[in-house]
Amino acid sequence: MNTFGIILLLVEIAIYSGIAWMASKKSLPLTLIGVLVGIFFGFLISLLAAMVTGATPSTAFVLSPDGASNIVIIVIATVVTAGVLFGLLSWLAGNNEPAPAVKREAEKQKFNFAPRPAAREAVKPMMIPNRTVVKPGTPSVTNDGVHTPAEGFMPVHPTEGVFGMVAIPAATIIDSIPEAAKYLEGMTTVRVRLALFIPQLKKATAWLTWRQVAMQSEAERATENDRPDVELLNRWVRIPPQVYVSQVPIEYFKVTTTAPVWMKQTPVTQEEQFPLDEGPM
Amino acid sequence: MASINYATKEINCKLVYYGPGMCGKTTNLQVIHSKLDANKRAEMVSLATPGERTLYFDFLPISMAEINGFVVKFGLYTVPGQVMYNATRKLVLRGADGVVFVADSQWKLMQENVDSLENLQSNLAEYNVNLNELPYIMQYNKRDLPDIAPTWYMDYLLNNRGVPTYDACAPEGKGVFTTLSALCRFVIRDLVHRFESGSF
Repeated sequence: MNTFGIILLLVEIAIYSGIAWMASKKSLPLTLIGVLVGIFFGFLISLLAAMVTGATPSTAFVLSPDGASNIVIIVIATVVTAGVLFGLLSWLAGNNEPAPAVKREAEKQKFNFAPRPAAREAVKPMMIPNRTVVKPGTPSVTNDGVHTPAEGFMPVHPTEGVFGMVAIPAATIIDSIPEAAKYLEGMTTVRVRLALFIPQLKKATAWLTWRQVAMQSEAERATENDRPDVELLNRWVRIPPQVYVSQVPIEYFKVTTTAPVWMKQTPVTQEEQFPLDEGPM
Repeated sequence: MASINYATKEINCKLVYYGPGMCGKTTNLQVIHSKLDANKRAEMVSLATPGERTLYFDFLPISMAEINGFVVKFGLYTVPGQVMYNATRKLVLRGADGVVFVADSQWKLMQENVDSLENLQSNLAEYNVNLNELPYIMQYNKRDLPDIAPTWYMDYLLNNRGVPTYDACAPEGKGVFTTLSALCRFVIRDLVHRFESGSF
């Protein structure tokens, strides 16, 4: 084997080593086996190619690569062997599985009927409420003293462009939510945004959630270090009208009255039989 | 709708006292019954529970006026105020010629007043009647109690049509006859106009 043949062999070994190292997931034994298999397989292919092309059908030809055609045969054999070697070692090393990121994505896309763990935790057993004989839409007080507004009532949005605050006695809030007492310690009143009351003026009772009271009032400071749980934040505070009516500017109570048709009729003489005084007619 | 009996020359009108539970509707009728001359009224019929809550309705017929030779008789009815008796309220309201809405002036019952007024409107709507067509007035009852709402606030809540309102203290008889007279006036006025326009 001449010098050129040795260089070619070294290059071949380097290529096989690199491919075997990567394909075997950096396993040294597999790399060594891969190099040996590669040299042997490459030699066989080169020999086969030489016999097929009929150049010089002998082992000596392969071991002493002289001439351009012989070099081409060896290079082709090396490339083919490298490909085969890569596939073989990948299979042996279990490298055909998808990459971890691809695997995770595929797992996600698999449909699963079971609720996810977070959803399972959120589901709480429901209690059948006590039956009460009330008109639908009537606010109620449940047996455990919790005030709730009419069915379907949603928390109001503050009216835009309305500024100012309304002082609500802490006792009023504690009456609806006894658990709020610890957040209102030392406070006689809680100042809540006027804008939350304006949309409810016509209803004669203001319903705010503890979240609305606590997060949009001075009580926020009291709660920020100890956030109540979500269930408590969504509890209703019933604020009767006498608490806030006197603090709402009078202009919000002005309404445009529209007299009904029967009031516009002209008086008749027959109605004089009904004097509008205190005594019996 | 008033009915006319040409044989007896009578016009019968139906006036209904409406409002939330325990607001004083029955008390209004009891006062009218007790103070009105016996020749102007019949006996009062009352269907009440042992706790003196109206179970079905109260009824007091009175005859008080005359129009073109016809005697006008008013049948005064109350409805049960308890929320569960809505079917009865609806039935009593049928064919009403006028309504007195009796509101309880106590702060704690403001929402009940609002709910009851809404209930009145929805029950009338089932007979294709609305409060723009039917004479009605407001009586703010229990004005003698300490914890009551100011009348301007009750107007804001209940009286967006600007109908006449009357303060009352029914057990003492204050405002009871004024309220009845005011409604009778509107009902008679409405009757006469309908007579004249031929729409009766």
